[in-house]
Amino acid sequence: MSEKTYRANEVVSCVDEGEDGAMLYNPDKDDTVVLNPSGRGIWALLSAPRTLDEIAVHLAADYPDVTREQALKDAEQFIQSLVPSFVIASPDEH
Amino acid sequence: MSIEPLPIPDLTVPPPGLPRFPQELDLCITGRCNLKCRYCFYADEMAARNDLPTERWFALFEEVSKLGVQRLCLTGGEVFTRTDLFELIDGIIASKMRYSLLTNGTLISRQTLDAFAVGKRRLRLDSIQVSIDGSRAEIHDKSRPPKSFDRAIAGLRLLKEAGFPVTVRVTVNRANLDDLPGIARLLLEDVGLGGFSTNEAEQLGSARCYGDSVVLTPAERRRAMEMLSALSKKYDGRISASAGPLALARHFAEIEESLARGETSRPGRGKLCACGGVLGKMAILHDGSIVPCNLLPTLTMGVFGLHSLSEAWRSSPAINAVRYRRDIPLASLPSCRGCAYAGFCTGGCPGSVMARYGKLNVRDPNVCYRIFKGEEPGDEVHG
Repeated sequence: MSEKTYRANEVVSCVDEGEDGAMLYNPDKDDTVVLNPSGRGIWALLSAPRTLDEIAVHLAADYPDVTREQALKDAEQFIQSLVPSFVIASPDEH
Repeated sequence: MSIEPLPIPDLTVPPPGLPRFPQELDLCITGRCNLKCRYCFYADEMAARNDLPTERWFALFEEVSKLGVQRLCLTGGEVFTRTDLFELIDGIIASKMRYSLLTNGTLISRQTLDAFAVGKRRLRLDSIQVSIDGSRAEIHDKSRPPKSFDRAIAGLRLLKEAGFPVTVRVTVNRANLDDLPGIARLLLEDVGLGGFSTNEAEQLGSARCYGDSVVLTPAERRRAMEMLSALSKKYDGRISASAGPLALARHFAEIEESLARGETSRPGRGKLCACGGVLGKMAILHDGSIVPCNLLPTLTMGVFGLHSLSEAWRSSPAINAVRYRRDIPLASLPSCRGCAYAGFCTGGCPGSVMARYGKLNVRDPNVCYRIFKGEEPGDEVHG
């Protein structure tokens, strides 16, 4: 079985809030979430399908002091907070 | 008592805490209407301007979505007179936003409902507000052409039966004052709406021509306040208002409760702060004019396509003048000096005073508790 991937839900808009990060809006669900700058970086990555490992590598590059295990845990936590409104999982989780 | 002179604000600098751009916009997508209501705020000086074409609205949708707008309220004119209305709605959907509509209801048919079934038009619709001003044709149509009532009620019933998020706005005026109980019965019992909202005909747009036959006198406003308060109680709060007689009745009741407790002011009152709308949204008129609010159509902040929307939002002296109005203490105004109730008051709608006096920094006598109590004469017959 292929590894699960995650990508941005194409219906979602992302507005850059400068130093504050970014705001995502899903107009189908009328749902909003605010991302910190690090989250905004991951969001940009999700324009193409990514595995949790790939996201963790990106996080680890931003935070060199974080262990790989912790980066993976943080990536999973971040993604789970955005599925399914903002991020689509393949194969579908829901 | 002497009053400290107020610092003169730099009107090109927005007040602190203003969002980068509003999340909501009011768009008057057309100046055309199939009716000519006698109190329409969007008539008179607006009629001669041309509607932006479809492509310009598409460009605007794309731009404002990127700036962070999440929902658009489409109004007019009558939105259903635009033959490209559903194209525009699809443009809003493609630009990742939601929308609501304000309508007179008369052009809504089964075909209209079918058109909403396409794509995400229904999913992204927050609400459709229909204007109903009478429980029967002879009342509703006093302010409009004949047969408007039958068509508006038919449209309303179609929307309600099909499960649309339909709401109703009742504009209290001289023609429907005695019919308010009938209107409440029609909308809440017969049609079966969960609630409806009310406001009051103002001296704006067409009502400037028909003022004496449309706008409430102080005595009529008092009656409207009593009737709507009683109806709101009867129908368990299903009648709402953010302005007009019912809102005023609630505001004055609050003042009386505060006075009974021995208070001399209330938090967030005592200044010309009635409207916070300009802190969270602005409006675009059908010709592309950018204005602080539909009710302030002469305060042009720029024109879409010629001026930057985000710069207009933050740096236009026209909108910042309305925002900084909120810092002006009522006690500093000649009309309110020495008023024992100034600490409870908010001064009324900027659009109303702009239309009436041609300036912003005055209070609306229609919302003055001192005048209501008969402790000060009104400014004029209708005020």
